[in-house]
Amino acid sequence: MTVAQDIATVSNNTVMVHGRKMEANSLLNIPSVAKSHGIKDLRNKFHGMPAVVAGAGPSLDAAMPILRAYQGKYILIAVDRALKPLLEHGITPHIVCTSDMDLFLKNFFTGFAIPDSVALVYDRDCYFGVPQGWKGPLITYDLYFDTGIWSTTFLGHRGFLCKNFTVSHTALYIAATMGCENVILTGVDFAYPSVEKHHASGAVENPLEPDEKARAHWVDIPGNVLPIVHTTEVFGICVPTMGSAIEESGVKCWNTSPIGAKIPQAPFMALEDAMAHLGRSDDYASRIMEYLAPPQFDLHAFGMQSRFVIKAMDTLLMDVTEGIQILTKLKKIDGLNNKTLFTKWRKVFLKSIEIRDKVLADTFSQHLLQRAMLWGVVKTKQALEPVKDLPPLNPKRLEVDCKRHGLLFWQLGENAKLFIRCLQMVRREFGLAPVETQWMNDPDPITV
Amino acid sequence: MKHVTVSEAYKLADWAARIACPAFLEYDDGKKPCFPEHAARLRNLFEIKDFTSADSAAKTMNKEILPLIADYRDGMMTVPLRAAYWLCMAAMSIERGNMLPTDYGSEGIRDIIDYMKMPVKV
Repeated sequence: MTVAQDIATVSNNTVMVHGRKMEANSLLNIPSVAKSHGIKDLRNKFHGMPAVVAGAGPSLDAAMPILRAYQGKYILIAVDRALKPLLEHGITPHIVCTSDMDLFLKNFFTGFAIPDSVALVYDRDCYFGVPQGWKGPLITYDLYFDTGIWSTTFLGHRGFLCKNFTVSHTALYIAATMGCENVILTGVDFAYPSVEKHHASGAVENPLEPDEKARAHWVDIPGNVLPIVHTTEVFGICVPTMGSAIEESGVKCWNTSPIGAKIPQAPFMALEDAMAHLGRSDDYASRIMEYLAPPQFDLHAFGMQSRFVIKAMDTLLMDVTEGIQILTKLKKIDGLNNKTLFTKWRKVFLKSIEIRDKVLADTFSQHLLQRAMLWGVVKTKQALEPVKDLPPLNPKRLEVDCKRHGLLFWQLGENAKLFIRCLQMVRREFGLAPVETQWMNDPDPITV
Repeated sequence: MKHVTVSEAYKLADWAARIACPAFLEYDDGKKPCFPEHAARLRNLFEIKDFTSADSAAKTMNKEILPLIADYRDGMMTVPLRAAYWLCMAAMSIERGNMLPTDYGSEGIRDIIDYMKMPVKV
Protein backbone atom coordinates (compact mmCIF):
# COMPACT_ATOMS: atom_id res chain seq x y z
CA MET A 1 0.00 0.00 0.00
CA THR A 2 1.23 3.49 -0.80
CA VAL A 3 1.08 6.32 1.73
CA ALA A 4 -1.77 7.92 -0.25
CA GLN A 5 -3.72 4.64 -0.07
CA ASP A 6 -3.03 4.37 3.67
CA ILE A 7 -4.37 7.89 4.17
CA ALA A 8 -7.47 7.15 2.10
CA THR A 9 -8.14 3.94 4.04
CA VAL A 10 -7.77 5.54 7.47
CA SER A 11 -9.85 8.51 6.34
CA ASN A 12 -12.64 6.26 5.05
CA ASN A 13 -12.57 4.11 8.17
CA THR A 14 -12.84 7.19 10.39
CA VAL A 15 -15.92 8.36 8.53
CA MET A 16 -17.39 4.87 8.55
CA VAL A 17 -17.02 4.47 12.31
CA HIS A 18 -17.66 8.05 13.40
CA GLY A 19 -19.71 9.45 10.46
CA ARG A 20 -22.96 9.77 12.38
CA LYS A 21 -21.25 11.37 15.35
CA MET A 22 -19.39 13.77 13.05
CA GLU A 23 -22.61 14.72 11.31
CA ALA A 24 -24.41 15.39 14.60
CA ASN A 25 -21.51 17.57 15.77
CA SER A 26 -21.35 19.47 12.49
CA LEU A 27 -25.06 20.34 12.87
CA LEU A 28 -24.89 21.14 16.58
CA ASN A 29 -21.82 23.29 15.97
CA ILE A 30 -23.81 25.68 13.72
CA PRO A 31 -24.41 28.23 16.56
CA SER A 32 -20.68 28.20 17.38
CA VAL A 33 -19.68 28.54 13.73
CA ALA A 34 -22.09 31.48 13.45
CA LYS A 35 -19.95 33.41 15.94
CA SER A 36 -16.58 32.07 14.75
CA HIS A 37 -14.01 33.79 12.60
CA GLY A 38 -12.54 32.10 9.54
CA ILE A 39 -9.06 30.69 9.11
CA LYS A 40 -8.93 32.65 5.83
CA ASP A 41 -8.62 35.86 7.88
CA LEU A 42 -5.18 34.72 8.99
CA ARG A 43 -4.02 33.38 5.62
CA ASN A 44 -0.48 34.56 4.78
CA LYS A 45 -0.69 37.30 7.43
CA PHE A 46 2.37 36.06 9.31
CA HIS A 47 4.72 35.71 6.40
CA GLY A 48 8.23 34.80 7.45
CA MET A 49 7.35 34.49 11.15
CA PRO A 50 8.38 31.49 13.24
CA ALA A 51 5.77 29.12 14.67
CA VAL A 52 6.07 26.38 17.24
CA VAL A 53 3.74 23.41 16.97
CA ALA A 54 3.47 21.90 20.46
CA GLY A 55 2.27 18.31 20.56
CA ALA A 56 1.60 16.48 23.82
CA GLY A 57 4.32 13.87 23.43
CA PRO A 58 6.66 12.97 26.32
CA SER A 59 9.44 15.24 24.97
CA LEU A 60 7.31 18.30 25.75
CA ASP A 61 8.35 18.06 29.43
CA ALA A 62 11.99 18.84 28.65
CA ALA A 63 10.99 21.60 26.21
CA MET A 64 8.94 23.59 28.73
CA PRO A 65 11.73 25.75 30.27
CA ILE A 66 13.00 26.73 26.82
CA LEU A 67 9.52 27.51 25.49
CA ARG A 68 8.96 29.69 28.54
CA ALA A 69 12.27 31.50 28.23
CA TYR A 70 11.60 32.44 24.61
CA GLN A 71 7.89 33.29 24.96
CA GLY A 72 6.86 36.13 22.65
CA LYS A 73 9.46 35.21 20.03
CA TYR A 74 7.26 32.74 18.18
CA ILE A 75 3.62 31.93 17.45
CA LEU A 76 2.67 29.00 19.65
CA ILE A 77 0.11 26.62 18.17
CA ALA A 78 -0.73 23.88 20.67
CA VAL A 79 -2.70 20.70 20.13
CA ASP A 80 -5.68 20.17 22.44
CA ARG A 81 -3.98 17.75 24.84
CA ALA A 82 -0.90 19.97 25.25
CA LEU A 83 -2.91 22.97 26.49
CA LYS A 84 -3.10 21.91 30.14
CA PRO A 85 0.62 21.07 30.60
CA LEU A 86 1.64 24.29 28.81
CA LEU A 87 -0.59 26.47 31.00
CA GLU A 88 0.68 24.69 34.12
CA HIS A 89 4.18 25.78 33.15
CA GLY A 90 3.08 29.39 32.62
CA ILE A 91 3.17 29.19 28.82
CA THR A 92 0.11 30.61 27.06
CA PRO A 93 -0.41 29.39 23.51
CA HIS A 94 -1.74 31.83 20.92
CA ILE A 95 -3.80 29.15 19.23
CA VAL A 96 -5.01 25.75 20.36
CA CYS A 97 -6.48 23.38 17.81
CA THR A 98 -8.81 20.46 18.21
CA SER A 99 -10.74 18.06 16.02
CA ASP A 100 -11.96 14.96 17.93
CA MET A 101 -15.65 14.22 17.87
CA ASP A 102 -15.97 12.36 21.19
CA LEU A 103 -17.46 13.62 24.42
CA PHE A 104 -14.10 12.84 26.02
CA LEU A 105 -12.63 15.85 24.21
CA LYS A 106 -14.24 18.11 26.80
CA ASN A 107 -11.80 16.76 29.44
CA PHE A 108 -8.90 18.41 27.61
CA PHE A 109 -10.42 21.81 28.36
CA THR A 110 -12.01 21.49 31.78
CA GLY A 111 -10.67 21.63 35.33
CA PHE A 112 -8.24 24.48 34.73
CA ALA A 113 -8.44 28.17 33.82
CA ILE A 114 -7.89 29.03 30.14
CA PRO A 115 -6.90 32.67 29.46
CA ASP A 116 -9.34 34.57 27.24
CA SER A 117 -6.57 35.41 24.79
CA VAL A 118 -6.20 31.81 23.59
CA ALA A 119 -7.91 31.32 20.22
CA LEU A 120 -9.51 27.95 19.53
CA VAL A 121 -9.23 26.63 15.98
CA TYR A 122 -11.75 23.84 15.81
CA ASP A 123 -12.98 21.40 13.27
CA ARG A 124 -16.73 21.55 12.66
CA ASP A 125 -16.95 17.86 13.45
CA CYS A 126 -15.40 18.29 16.90
CA TYR A 127 -17.49 17.70 20.00
CA PHE A 128 -19.91 20.62 20.03
CA GLY A 129 -19.56 21.30 23.78
CA VAL A 130 -15.98 22.52 23.35
CA PRO A 131 -16.51 25.57 21.09
CA GLN A 132 -19.85 26.19 22.83
CA GLY A 133 -18.14 26.85 26.17
CA TRP A 134 -15.04 28.61 24.81
CA LYS A 135 -14.47 32.13 26.17
CA GLY A 136 -11.70 33.31 23.83
CA PRO A 137 -11.87 33.87 20.06
CA LEU A 138 -13.21 31.00 17.98
CA ILE A 139 -11.78 30.23 14.55
CA THR A 140 -12.97 27.51 12.20
CA TYR A 141 -12.69 26.37 8.60
CA ASP A 142 -15.03 25.03 5.96
CA LEU A 143 -16.25 21.48 5.94
CA TYR A 144 -16.41 19.95 2.50
CA PHE A 145 -18.83 17.15 3.10
CA ASP A 146 -22.24 17.83 1.66
CA THR A 147 -23.78 19.12 4.89
CA GLY A 148 -20.88 21.54 5.20
CA ILE A 149 -21.36 22.80 1.65
CA TRP A 150 -25.08 23.20 2.28
CA SER A 151 -24.48 25.17 5.47
CA THR A 152 -22.21 27.66 3.68
CA THR A 153 -25.40 29.20 2.31
CA PHE A 154 -26.09 30.76 5.70
CA LEU A 155 -22.70 30.53 7.41
CA GLY A 156 -20.63 31.97 4.57
CA HIS A 157 -17.11 30.74 3.93
CA ARG A 158 -14.50 30.45 6.64
CA GLY A 159 -11.65 29.22 4.45
CA PHE A 160 -10.15 25.93 3.38
CA LEU A 161 -7.73 24.04 5.58
CA CYS A 162 -6.34 20.69 4.58
CA LYS A 163 -6.87 18.26 7.43
CA ASN A 164 -5.81 14.72 7.84
CA PHE A 165 -4.64 12.31 10.46
CA THR A 166 -3.64 13.81 13.80
CA VAL A 167 -4.30 17.14 15.39
CA SER A 168 -0.54 17.84 15.03
CA HIS A 169 -1.03 17.69 11.27
CA THR A 170 -3.83 20.24 11.61
CA ALA A 171 -1.55 22.49 13.71
CA LEU A 172 1.11 22.28 11.01
CA TYR A 173 -1.42 23.20 8.30
CA ILE A 174 -2.57 26.17 10.41
CA ALA A 175 1.03 27.41 10.67
CA ALA A 176 1.47 26.97 6.91
CA THR A 177 -1.82 28.75 6.16
CA MET A 178 -0.76 31.67 8.35
CA GLY A 179 2.33 31.97 6.16
CA CYS A 180 4.85 31.04 8.86
CA GLU A 181 8.16 30.27 7.23
CA ASN A 182 9.87 28.26 9.93
CA VAL A 183 7.88 25.71 11.87
CA ILE A 184 9.46 24.14 14.93
CA LEU A 185 7.95 20.88 16.09
CA THR A 186 8.16 20.15 19.78
CA GLY A 187 6.41 17.35 21.63
CA VAL A 188 5.45 15.87 18.25
CA ASP A 189 7.13 12.55 18.97
CA PHE A 190 5.06 9.85 17.26
CA ALA A 191 7.15 7.50 19.42
CA TYR A 192 7.38 6.56 23.05
CA PRO A 193 10.33 6.09 25.37
CA SER A 194 8.31 3.48 27.25
CA VAL A 195 5.11 1.56 26.60
CA GLU A 196 3.52 3.27 29.61
CA LYS A 197 4.43 6.92 29.11
CA HIS A 198 2.63 8.33 26.10
CA HIS A 199 2.18 11.98 26.97
CA ALA A 200 3.79 14.98 28.61
CA SER A 201 3.31 15.15 32.39
CA GLY A 202 -0.03 16.67 33.30
CA ALA A 203 -1.70 15.82 29.97
CA VAL A 204 -5.22 14.41 30.28
CA GLU A 205 -5.35 10.64 29.77
CA ASN A 206 -8.19 8.96 27.93
CA PRO A 207 -9.69 6.19 30.12
CA LEU A 208 -9.53 3.84 27.11
CA GLU A 209 -5.81 4.34 26.67
CA PRO A 210 -4.53 1.52 28.92
CA ASP A 211 -6.58 -0.89 26.85
CA GLU A 212 -5.36 0.65 23.59
CA LYS A 213 -1.76 0.39 24.80
CA ALA A 214 -2.24 -3.28 25.59
CA ARG A 215 -3.82 -4.01 22.19
CA ALA A 216 -1.50 -1.86 20.07
CA HIS A 217 0.85 -3.49 17.64
CA TRP A 218 4.28 -2.08 18.45
CA VAL A 219 6.91 -1.46 15.80
CA ASP A 220 10.48 -0.12 15.66
CA ILE A 221 11.13 2.85 13.37
CA PRO A 222 14.12 5.21 12.86
CA GLY A 223 14.47 7.88 15.54
CA ASN A 224 15.12 11.60 15.19
CA VAL A 225 18.26 11.36 17.35
CA LEU A 226 18.18 7.78 18.59
CA PRO A 227 18.86 5.08 15.99
CA ILE A 228 15.58 3.25 16.69
CA VAL A 229 12.42 4.23 18.58
CA HIS A 230 9.30 2.26 19.54
CA THR A 231 5.86 3.26 18.42
CA THR A 232 2.45 1.85 17.60
CA GLU A 233 1.57 0.87 14.05
CA VAL A 234 -0.93 3.74 13.74
CA PHE A 235 1.64 6.35 14.77
CA GLY A 236 4.11 4.61 12.47
CA ILE A 237 1.80 5.63 9.57
CA CYS A 238 1.53 9.19 10.95
CA VAL A 239 5.26 9.76 10.48
CA PRO A 240 5.40 9.59 6.64
CA THR A 241 2.10 11.48 6.40
CA MET A 242 3.60 14.30 8.48
CA GLY A 243 6.50 14.30 6.01
CA SER A 244 4.05 14.63 3.09
CA ALA A 245 2.18 17.39 4.92
CA ILE A 246 5.42 19.37 5.39
CA GLU A 247 6.37 18.88 1.76
CA GLU A 248 2.93 19.80 0.52
CA SER A 249 2.58 22.91 2.66
CA GLY A 250 6.01 24.16 1.59
CA VAL A 251 7.20 25.24 5.05
CA LYS A 252 10.66 24.79 6.51
CA CYS A 253 10.27 22.49 9.44
CA TRP A 254 12.54 21.42 12.28
CA ASN A 255 11.90 18.52 14.60
CA THR A 256 13.36 19.22 18.01
CA SER A 257 12.34 15.99 19.71
CA PRO A 258 15.33 14.04 21.06
CA ILE A 259 13.26 10.93 21.73
CA GLY A 260 10.79 11.07 18.84
CA ALA A 261 10.56 9.42 15.45
CA LYS A 262 12.43 10.75 12.44
CA ILE A 263 9.96 12.79 10.42
CA PRO A 264 10.83 13.13 6.71
CA GLN A 265 11.46 16.75 5.61
CA ALA A 266 12.00 17.85 9.24
CA PRO A 267 15.70 17.71 10.18
CA PHE A 268 16.73 17.72 13.82
CA MET A 269 17.65 20.96 15.53
CA ALA A 270 17.94 21.35 19.32
CA LEU A 271 15.02 23.45 20.58
CA GLU A 272 17.26 26.09 22.19
CA ASP A 273 19.26 26.54 18.97
CA ALA A 274 16.05 26.75 16.94
CA MET A 275 14.66 29.42 19.25
CA ALA A 276 17.90 31.42 19.27
CA HIS A 277 18.27 31.34 15.48
CA LEU A 278 14.67 31.53 14.29
CA GLY A 279 12.81 33.41 17.05
CA ARG A 280 11.47 36.91 16.23
CA SER A 281 9.85 39.15 18.82
CA ASP A 282 6.39 40.46 18.01
CA ASP A 283 3.02 40.94 19.67
CA TYR A 284 1.51 37.89 18.00
CA ALA A 285 -1.62 37.70 20.16
CA SER A 286 -2.69 41.27 19.28
CA ARG A 287 -1.89 40.75 15.60
CA ILE A 288 -4.05 37.63 15.45
CA MET A 289 -6.96 39.54 16.97
CA GLU A 290 -6.38 42.46 14.62
CA TYR A 291 -6.69 40.31 11.49
CA LEU A 292 -9.85 38.46 12.47
CA ALA A 293 -12.82 39.81 10.50
CA PRO A 294 -16.32 39.81 12.06
CA PRO A 295 -18.08 36.43 11.69
CA GLN A 296 -20.64 36.02 8.87
CA PHE A 297 -24.06 34.57 9.54
CA ASP A 298 -27.44 34.99 7.87
CA LEU A 299 -30.14 34.08 10.40
CA HIS A 300 -32.96 34.56 7.89
CA ALA A 301 -31.32 32.18 5.40
CA PHE A 302 -30.70 29.66 8.20
CA GLY A 303 -34.36 29.83 9.18
CA MET A 304 -35.50 29.15 5.62
CA GLN A 305 -32.86 26.52 4.81
CA SER A 306 -33.27 24.58 8.03
CA ARG A 307 -37.06 24.54 7.54
CA PHE A 308 -36.51 23.17 4.03
CA VAL A 309 -34.18 20.42 5.29
CA ILE A 310 -36.39 19.47 8.25
CA LYS A 311 -39.41 19.17 5.94
CA ALA A 312 -37.40 17.10 3.43
CA MET A 313 -36.14 14.79 6.19
CA ASP A 314 -39.61 14.47 7.65
CA THR A 315 -41.04 13.36 4.28
CA LEU A 316 -38.18 10.89 3.91
CA LEU A 317 -38.80 9.56 7.40
CA MET A 318 -42.46 8.94 6.64
CA ASP A 319 -41.55 7.13 3.41
CA VAL A 320 -39.03 4.83 5.06
CA THR A 321 -41.45 4.13 7.91
CA GLU A 322 -43.92 2.90 5.29
CA GLY A 323 -41.12 0.84 3.71
CA ILE A 324 -40.32 -0.81 7.02
CA GLN A 325 -44.02 -1.57 7.62
CA ILE A 326 -44.12 -3.34 4.22
CA LEU A 327 -41.02 -5.36 5.05
CA THR A 328 -42.52 -6.32 8.43
CA LYS A 329 -45.65 -7.49 6.59
CA LEU A 330 -43.47 -9.55 4.24
CA LYS A 331 -41.81 -11.20 7.18
CA LYS A 332 -45.24 -12.14 8.54
CA ILE A 333 -46.37 -13.62 5.19
CA ASP A 334 -43.16 -15.64 4.97
CA GLY A 335 -44.01 -16.62 1.38
CA LEU A 336 -40.49 -17.29 0.12
CA ASN A 337 -40.76 -21.04 0.52
CA ASN A 338 -44.47 -21.27 -0.26
CA LYS A 339 -45.43 -21.32 -3.95
CA THR A 340 -49.04 -20.23 -3.29
CA LEU A 341 -48.01 -17.24 -1.22
CA PHE A 342 -45.01 -16.32 -3.32
CA THR A 343 -47.03 -14.36 -5.93
CA LYS A 344 -48.59 -12.23 -3.19
CA TRP A 345 -45.22 -11.91 -1.48
CA ARG A 346 -43.58 -10.70 -4.69
CA LYS A 347 -46.22 -8.00 -5.24
CA VAL A 348 -45.65 -6.65 -1.76
CA PHE A 349 -41.88 -6.83 -2.27
CA LEU A 350 -42.21 -4.70 -5.42
CA LYS A 351 -43.92 -2.04 -3.32
CA SER A 352 -40.85 -1.87 -1.07
CA ILE A 353 -38.70 -1.42 -4.20
CA GLU A 354 -40.95 1.45 -5.29
CA ILE A 355 -40.42 3.13 -1.94
CA ARG A 356 -36.68 2.52 -2.14
CA ASP A 357 -36.54 4.16 -5.58
CA LYS A 358 -38.66 7.05 -4.34
CA VAL A 359 -36.41 7.83 -1.38
CA LEU A 360 -33.24 7.43 -3.44
CA ALA A 361 -34.62 9.88 -6.01
CA ASP A 362 -34.50 12.62 -3.36
CA THR A 363 -30.86 13.39 -4.12
CA PHE A 364 -30.75 16.46 -1.90
CA SER A 365 -31.53 14.46 1.24
CA GLN A 366 -29.40 11.53 0.09
CA HIS A 367 -26.36 13.73 -0.25
CA LEU A 368 -26.87 15.34 3.13
CA LEU A 369 -27.18 11.92 4.72
CA GLN A 370 -24.39 10.14 2.92
CA ARG A 371 -21.63 10.68 5.49
CA ALA A 372 -23.77 9.47 8.39
CA MET A 373 -24.91 6.58 6.18
CA LEU A 374 -21.47 5.31 5.15
CA TRP A 375 -21.52 2.47 7.67
CA GLY A 376 -24.94 1.32 6.40
CA VAL A 377 -23.88 1.57 2.75
CA VAL A 378 -20.85 -0.61 3.40
CA LYS A 379 -22.97 -3.14 5.34
CA THR A 380 -25.60 -3.38 2.58
CA LYS A 381 -22.86 -3.89 -0.02
CA GLN A 382 -21.24 -6.59 2.11
CA ALA A 383 -24.60 -8.35 2.55
CA LEU A 384 -25.05 -8.59 -1.23
CA GLU A 385 -21.62 -10.12 -1.80
CA PRO A 386 -22.48 -13.83 -1.17
CA VAL A 387 -25.59 -13.76 -3.43
CA LYS A 388 -24.60 -11.26 -6.10
CA ASP A 389 -24.35 -13.94 -8.83
CA LEU A 390 -27.81 -15.39 -8.16
CA PRO A 391 -30.75 -14.31 -10.41
CA PRO A 392 -32.92 -11.49 -8.96
CA LEU A 393 -35.91 -13.74 -8.22
CA ASN A 394 -33.94 -16.46 -6.46
CA PRO A 395 -35.45 -16.90 -2.94
CA LYS A 396 -32.04 -16.62 -1.28
CA ARG A 397 -31.31 -13.37 -3.08
CA LEU A 398 -34.78 -12.01 -2.32
CA GLU A 399 -34.28 -12.73 1.35
CA VAL A 400 -30.97 -10.88 1.34
CA ASP A 401 -32.52 -8.01 -0.64
CA CYS A 402 -35.27 -7.72 1.95
CA LYS A 403 -32.68 -7.42 4.70
CA ARG A 404 -30.73 -4.88 2.68
CA HIS A 405 -33.80 -2.74 2.08
CA GLY A 406 -34.66 -2.97 5.77
CA LEU A 407 -31.17 -1.84 6.73
CA LEU A 408 -31.28 1.02 4.22
CA PHE A 409 -34.70 2.21 5.42
CA TRP A 410 -33.67 1.98 9.06
CA GLN A 411 -30.41 3.88 8.46
CA LEU A 412 -32.16 6.57 6.42
CA GLY A 413 -34.85 6.94 9.05
CA GLU A 414 -32.46 7.11 11.99
CA ASN A 415 -30.27 9.66 10.26
CA ALA A 416 -33.24 11.73 9.09
CA LYS A 417 -34.33 11.82 12.76
CA LEU A 418 -30.82 12.95 13.70
CA PHE A 419 -31.06 15.85 11.26
CA ILE A 420 -34.52 16.83 12.49
CA ARG A 421 -33.50 16.65 16.17
CA CYS A 422 -30.25 18.57 15.70
CA LEU A 423 -31.72 21.27 13.47
CA GLN A 424 -34.71 21.79 15.78
CA MET A 425 -32.28 22.16 18.69
CA VAL A 426 -30.23 24.71 16.77
CA ARG A 427 -33.37 26.62 15.75
CA ARG A 428 -34.37 26.77 19.41
CA GLU A 429 -30.94 28.12 20.29
CA PHE A 430 -31.38 30.94 17.75
CA GLY A 431 -34.85 31.70 19.11
CA LEU A 432 -36.64 30.40 15.99
CA ALA A 433 -39.93 28.56 16.24
CA PRO A 434 -39.71 24.78 15.78
CA VAL A 435 -40.79 23.45 12.39
CA GLU A 436 -43.90 21.34 12.56
CA THR A 437 -43.27 17.79 11.44
CA GLN A 438 -45.35 14.65 11.22
CA TRP A 439 -42.67 12.78 13.15
CA MET A 440 -42.95 15.02 16.20
CA ASN A 441 -46.55 13.86 16.66
CA ASP A 442 -45.43 10.26 16.76
CA PRO A 443 -42.11 10.24 18.61
CA ASP A 444 -40.69 6.93 17.48
CA PRO A 445 -42.46 5.22 14.60
CA ILE A 446 -39.46 3.28 13.32
CA THR A 447 -38.91 -0.24 14.52
CA VAL A 448 -36.82 -2.89 12.86
CA MET B 1 -25.65 36.71 1.75
CA LYS B 2 -25.26 36.47 -2.00
CA HIS B 3 -28.33 35.55 -4.02
CA VAL B 4 -28.05 34.41 -7.60
CA THR B 5 -30.46 34.16 -10.51
CA VAL B 6 -30.99 30.94 -12.52
CA SER B 7 -28.71 32.02 -15.37
CA GLU B 8 -26.02 33.20 -12.94
CA ALA B 9 -26.24 29.87 -11.15
CA TYR B 10 -25.69 27.94 -14.40
CA LYS B 11 -22.79 30.24 -15.31
CA LEU B 12 -21.14 29.59 -11.93
CA ALA B 13 -21.63 25.84 -12.30
CA ASP B 14 -20.15 25.98 -15.79
CA TRP B 15 -17.08 27.87 -14.60
CA ALA B 16 -16.58 25.47 -11.70
CA ALA B 17 -17.07 22.25 -13.67
CA ARG B 18 -15.37 23.06 -16.96
CA ILE B 19 -12.64 25.52 -15.97
CA ALA B 20 -11.70 25.31 -12.29
CA CYS B 21 -12.06 21.55 -11.77
CA PRO B 22 -9.95 20.49 -14.78
CA ALA B 23 -7.25 22.85 -13.53
CA PHE B 24 -7.30 21.09 -10.16
CA LEU B 25 -7.21 17.67 -11.71
CA GLU B 26 -4.25 18.58 -13.89
CA TYR B 27 -2.46 20.53 -11.19
CA ASP B 28 1.09 19.31 -11.09
CA ASP B 29 3.90 21.17 -9.43
CA GLY B 30 6.16 18.17 -9.65
CA LYS B 31 4.98 16.88 -6.28
CA LYS B 32 1.26 16.19 -6.55
CA PRO B 33 -0.11 13.48 -8.81
CA CYS B 34 -2.55 14.66 -11.44
CA PHE B 35 -5.52 13.24 -13.34
CA PRO B 36 -5.26 14.53 -16.93
CA GLU B 37 -7.78 12.05 -18.35
CA HIS B 38 -10.48 13.21 -15.90
CA ALA B 39 -9.60 16.84 -16.59
CA ALA B 40 -10.08 16.26 -20.31
CA ARG B 41 -13.41 14.57 -19.60
CA LEU B 42 -14.69 17.65 -17.77
CA ARG B 43 -13.37 20.08 -20.37
CA ASN B 44 -15.27 18.18 -23.05
CA LEU B 45 -18.60 18.52 -21.27
CA PHE B 46 -21.31 20.49 -23.02
CA GLU B 47 -21.61 24.07 -21.81
CA ILE B 48 -23.73 24.15 -18.66
CA LYS B 49 -26.56 26.52 -19.45
CA ASP B 50 -29.75 24.64 -18.69
CA PHE B 51 -31.22 21.83 -16.61
CA THR B 52 -30.17 19.03 -19.00
CA SER B 53 -26.54 20.05 -19.37
CA ALA B 54 -26.21 20.66 -15.60
CA ASP B 55 -27.76 17.28 -14.87
CA SER B 56 -25.40 15.54 -17.28
CA ALA B 57 -22.34 17.32 -15.79
CA ALA B 58 -23.46 16.50 -12.23
CA LYS B 59 -23.88 12.82 -13.14
CA THR B 60 -20.46 12.68 -14.81
CA MET B 61 -18.81 14.22 -11.78
CA ASN B 62 -20.68 12.25 -9.16
CA LYS B 63 -20.73 8.83 -10.77
CA GLU B 64 -17.67 8.70 -12.99
CA ILE B 65 -15.01 11.01 -11.58
CA LEU B 66 -15.56 11.54 -7.86
CA PRO B 67 -15.53 7.84 -6.90
CA LEU B 68 -12.19 7.33 -8.65
CA ILE B 69 -10.42 10.06 -6.74
CA ALA B 70 -12.59 10.10 -3.63
CA ASP B 71 -10.85 10.98 -0.40
CA TYR B 72 -7.65 11.74 -2.19
CA ARG B 73 -5.48 13.60 0.35
CA ASP B 74 -8.51 14.01 2.56
CA GLY B 75 -10.22 16.35 0.21
CA MET B 76 -7.50 18.41 -1.44
CA MET B 77 -8.57 17.09 -4.85
CA THR B 78 -12.18 16.28 -4.14
CA VAL B 79 -13.20 19.62 -2.58
CA PRO B 80 -13.53 21.57 -5.85
CA LEU B 81 -15.31 18.65 -7.52
CA ARG B 82 -17.82 18.34 -4.72
CA ALA B 83 -18.36 22.08 -4.76
CA ALA B 84 -18.84 22.07 -8.55
CA TYR B 85 -21.25 19.18 -8.23
CA TRP B 86 -23.27 21.12 -5.65
CA LEU B 87 -23.28 24.20 -7.88
CA CYS B 88 -24.91 22.12 -10.64
CA MET B 89 -27.41 20.69 -8.16
CA ALA B 90 -28.17 24.15 -6.77
CA ALA B 91 -28.66 25.64 -10.23
CA MET B 92 -31.13 22.87 -11.09
CA SER B 93 -32.93 23.34 -7.78
CA ILE B 94 -33.16 27.08 -8.28
CA GLU B 95 -34.74 26.47 -11.69
CA ARG B 96 -37.20 24.04 -10.10
CA GLY B 97 -37.99 26.74 -7.56
CA ASN B 98 -37.59 24.52 -4.54
CA MET B 99 -34.26 25.70 -3.17
CA LEU B 100 -33.19 29.03 -1.83
CA PRO B 101 -31.13 30.92 -4.39
CA THR B 102 -27.88 31.24 -2.50
CA ASP B 103 -24.30 30.66 -3.46
CA TYR B 104 -23.39 26.99 -3.18
CA GLY B 105 -19.71 26.27 -3.23
CA SER B 106 -18.32 28.87 -5.62
CA GLU B 107 -16.61 30.78 -2.79
CA GLY B 108 -15.27 27.42 -1.66
CA ILE B 109 -13.61 26.80 -5.01
CA ARG B 110 -12.15 30.29 -5.05
CA ASP B 111 -10.84 29.73 -1.54
CA ILE B 112 -9.04 26.51 -2.38
CA ILE B 113 -7.54 28.16 -5.46
CA ASP B 114 -6.04 30.74 -3.09
CA TYR B 115 -4.95 28.03 -0.67
CA MET B 116 -3.20 25.98 -3.30
CA LYS B 117 -1.88 29.13 -5.01
CA MET B 118 -3.20 27.84 -8.32
CA PRO B 119 -2.99 29.76 -11.58
CA VAL B 120 -6.75 29.67 -12.30
CA LYS B 121 -8.40 32.84 -13.55
CA VAL B 122 -11.37 33.56 -11.30
